[in-house]
Amino acid sequence: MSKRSCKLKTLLSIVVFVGVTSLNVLCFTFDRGTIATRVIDESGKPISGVTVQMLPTDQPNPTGVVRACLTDESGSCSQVLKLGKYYIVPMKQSEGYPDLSFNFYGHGKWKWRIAITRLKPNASETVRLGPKAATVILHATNALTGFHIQHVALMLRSASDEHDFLSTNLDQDSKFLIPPNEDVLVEVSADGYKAAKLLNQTAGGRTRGLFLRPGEIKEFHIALQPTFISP
Amino acid sequence: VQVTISGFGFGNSPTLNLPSGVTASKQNSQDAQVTVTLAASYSTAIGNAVISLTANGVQSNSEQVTLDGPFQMVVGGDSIGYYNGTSGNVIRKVTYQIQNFSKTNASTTTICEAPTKMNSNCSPSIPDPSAAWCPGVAGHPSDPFIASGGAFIDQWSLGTASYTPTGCGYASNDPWSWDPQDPQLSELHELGLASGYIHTDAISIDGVTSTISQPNKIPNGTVMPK
Repeated sequence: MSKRSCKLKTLLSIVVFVGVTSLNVLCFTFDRGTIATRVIDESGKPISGVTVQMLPTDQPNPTGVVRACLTDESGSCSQVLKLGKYYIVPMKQSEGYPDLSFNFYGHGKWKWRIAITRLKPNASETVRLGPKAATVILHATNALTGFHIQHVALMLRSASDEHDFLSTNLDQDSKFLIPPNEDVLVEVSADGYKAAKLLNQTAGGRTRGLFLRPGEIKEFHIALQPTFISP
Repeated sequence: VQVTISGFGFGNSPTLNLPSGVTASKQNSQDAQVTVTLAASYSTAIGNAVISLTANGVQSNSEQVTLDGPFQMVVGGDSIGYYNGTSGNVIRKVTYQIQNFSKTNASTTTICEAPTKMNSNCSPSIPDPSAAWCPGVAGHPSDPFIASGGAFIDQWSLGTASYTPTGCGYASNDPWSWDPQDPQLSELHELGLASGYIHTDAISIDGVTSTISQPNKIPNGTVMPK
């Protein structure tokens, strides 16, 4: 074979990775400070993987990116923020710690506040999480075929104040959190199916909603009726 | 990354044909094999590209390579409810996971946005959103955001009592970008677009409109358009 017909044969299973690790160089200016947070559980053990949100206290109607950091193995993270006052709102849904910026979980109380000022631009806070919410594991299936339903939506309401609600999607682990020690009404829906209520089956015939203890994990199966049945 | 190219007839000084932004160093050429170290700059387009080799005036066949990096944003959660401590302010929090071109989750990534606010018609005027401004947006100093673990939360809010008339608000186009923070370049790579509107009675993101009575949500796993 002549050189003119030569061809590359192989070869290249190449993945050139374009610098995902950014330089993370931020401009520090006089109107900025740093808030460091350490997150521990009820026993004092640090928790990694907690998203720590910093929400300005002076914005009753906040719109925009939520400034947040993720805790490391020591339960710590920090972030550079504009000077001001903030609510510290940690969450790790997979371990039972919900997003307390929703009234449905926070019940109108902010547990932690912090301020950074020109005189004191760096501040730190240790946050002890708990009690945990209750975790519901939900398996939704087609009532006719038994097939698993993928995109499931949830409407959660406090039974004592049905005005308060949280509407959310079932997460990839088929889990969602409900506030403990209170009745919660749960409606399950999916495109193409009739919505259904999730009821706690108890010996006493209790059907008001779900009532679970802090940290309790309960699994449910629900079969949804299709709204349209093909001939 | 070090690359080995095999074939034959390469001669002693073949030329590599590389995608724009990719540079070669430490090239060692033999007739049947070339080893070379390739590096991609932040200006390189993310995605599939091809490389080839020219020897003695003849160009080889092309081989596909993947230039991987932060490429798109995918919905990881969409929740609507009252803001803590308020009776009239509803927030919609959408969690996005940044994914590489290879669809793996990106690690910690610096991102920014350039939201527009259009047709605002409330009284009093709704304040501008708290944005992670990209460099070069007129009137706003650059204020990028470090998305830990490649995830971030964008919150859109409506206040049912603060503004009049009922149903007023504004429209918004909010393009998000990866900002590599390279001091030598001002390259941004678009990740996705959240477009819609914020009204006192509804929040719409990419055609999915939520009201208090009908809080629709974007399904998890949805890739945001660009």
